[in-house]
Amino acid sequence: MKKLSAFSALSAAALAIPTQAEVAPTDTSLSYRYSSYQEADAPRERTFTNETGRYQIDIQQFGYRTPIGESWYIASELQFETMSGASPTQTYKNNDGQSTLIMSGASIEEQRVDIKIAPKKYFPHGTAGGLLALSKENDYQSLAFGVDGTLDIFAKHTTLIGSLSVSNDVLSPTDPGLSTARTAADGRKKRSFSIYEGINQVLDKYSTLQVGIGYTQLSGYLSDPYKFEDRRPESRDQVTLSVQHKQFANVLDGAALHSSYRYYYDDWGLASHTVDIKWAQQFNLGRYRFIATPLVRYYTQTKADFYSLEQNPADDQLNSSDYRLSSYGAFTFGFNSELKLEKWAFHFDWQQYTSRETLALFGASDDEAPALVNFSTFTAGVDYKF
Amino acid sequence: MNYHQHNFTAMASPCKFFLQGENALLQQACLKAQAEIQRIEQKFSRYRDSSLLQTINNNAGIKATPIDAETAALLNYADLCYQQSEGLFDITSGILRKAWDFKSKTLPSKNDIQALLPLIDWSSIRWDQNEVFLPKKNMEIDFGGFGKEYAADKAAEIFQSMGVQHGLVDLGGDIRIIGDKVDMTGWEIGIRDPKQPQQAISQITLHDGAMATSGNYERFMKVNNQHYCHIMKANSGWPVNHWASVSILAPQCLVAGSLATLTMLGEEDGLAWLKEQEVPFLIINVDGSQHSNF
Repeated sequence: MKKLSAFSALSAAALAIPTQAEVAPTDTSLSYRYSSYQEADAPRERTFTNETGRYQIDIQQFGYRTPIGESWYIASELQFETMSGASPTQTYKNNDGQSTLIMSGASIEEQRVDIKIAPKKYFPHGTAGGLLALSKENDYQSLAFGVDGTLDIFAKHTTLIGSLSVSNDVLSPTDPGLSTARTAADGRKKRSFSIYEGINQVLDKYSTLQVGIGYTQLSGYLSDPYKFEDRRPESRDQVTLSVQHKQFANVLDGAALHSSYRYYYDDWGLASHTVDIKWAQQFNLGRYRFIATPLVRYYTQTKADFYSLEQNPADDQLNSSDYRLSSYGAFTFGFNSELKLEKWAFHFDWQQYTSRETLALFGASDDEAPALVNFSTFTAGVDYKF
Repeated sequence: MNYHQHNFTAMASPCKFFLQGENALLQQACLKAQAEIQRIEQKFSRYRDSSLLQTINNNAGIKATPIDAETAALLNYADLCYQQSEGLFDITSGILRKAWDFKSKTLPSKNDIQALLPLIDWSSIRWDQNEVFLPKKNMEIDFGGFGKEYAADKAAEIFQSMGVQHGLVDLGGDIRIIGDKVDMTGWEIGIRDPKQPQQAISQITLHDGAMATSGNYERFMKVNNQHYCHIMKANSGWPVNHWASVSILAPQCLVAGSLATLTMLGEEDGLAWLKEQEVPFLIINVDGSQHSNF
């Protein structure tokens, strides 16, 4: 045995071991979700025919996430959707000044398949990720590609976030010979380009703040070929400003208050505000952990410049009676819950969405928009980690 | 004040966090600290094909493996342990498990051990900050001799960096204090009785730092009433048999654990060597006699 102090030598060597950076998740996980989306019936007193039933969508989602090697993590998702029901075709103001809603008839029965793959590489001071998404239904096909990255600075108290994505969609309306709009849309493309820049700041041990700005440019065929008198511009520039705040709170077994605000503006004249608040409350019950999250969201938007309820607008005039381009406001109330037990997690979520012309905070109009939708969603799911 | 306790299993050991503070913070911190321990386990596991350590071993006799700064620093640490123990502590000696099967309750033949000894030679390993190369096929290294203690330190540092001030990390009996109890009365730590490991032979109060124990009771077999434990001398391939257990206090769990193991390896010379280190210790002879400077 050597006579010099092993203790000092080993202590010095131990202190020289570098601190490690953020690491890639190490669990492989499988998940399954079933969601049911149900729109409330349209108001019979405003529909042209007695067709009032709207969309019902069943969604099944399978997720698989796994680490690959030391620093890579891949998330993949496969989703099947079955849609059935009717959708609004046109809203117009009749001679009595009342809005009349024409529904498509319960002819829609569609399937959609989505595939998403997102690899992510973890570096000592950040991450770099990619996204490939493919979506296919019988009248629409979409291919999207994205890259994103994060960079930690100031001893990881600040994170810079950036992402960029492009998509290329192709329309192929069913029965293209049925209307001139469908014929015109058949084979047309829709492209998008999006960029987001954000910064996330740790404010103190219990709270973080993220602000971001996003820009999206859409171009190509942006009208809805299934609607009557729907002629929209061939480009749309959208800007989003967002602020998110997260505050941990020492209530019962731990809680977090998430609040966010989003401002949106586009060159179709549409502007919107969204406020989101949710409270995630944790309960420790022996081996179980239960997280209950009540949430509320308020949304208000002004109408697009070319939104109108004119029954027969001039053919060379931009026009749409799509309720999503009208001025309205909406409330969402929801309750998400998660039960964790070792490698398992079970989810039950419910949300109720209600929208009305009169809930608009800005630019409210006296025109009725009977197509404005109310819906509820219910989700049940399970995750398994190994 | 109540304790927040978080239990899981990693590195083939029960892991426990005992903490005091605000729940919201503690829960966040527990997940991060657990993830850190699991990261270390996966990176340096001998049992996972995808681990860095397994890659290094698979490349033995073939090519060098690129390593990162953490691995290089741990190799440097292992090198120092090798030098300080004059070759008795050697991270290439794990291969002896091929000859020593503690479940069989039979001794390996001298030939079996002789056949493995040429593969045990840390000094033949070429390594620097960027890569490591094991020169002979079938040679292997592992960090089993200090991985658990290193992970306990790293987990405690995660807690400290997140602002947790009161708590301890217990990784299979190796302890690293995050910070004293809220009331400053210290954490009561039991030291196992080597003859009855489920019972404490002594209690100690720790306010900070770490305590690690190396004992002959962790894995062993008795053959012809002789005790053969898992702590092997790298030069002979045979277990030590002088001390039943050595417990050391040091600021870092990693250092405490290595000093304890090196003392076990030093056998009868170990006590004198340990006294020179001027660290608090409790050492128990196989005959049950104790020495301590607590």
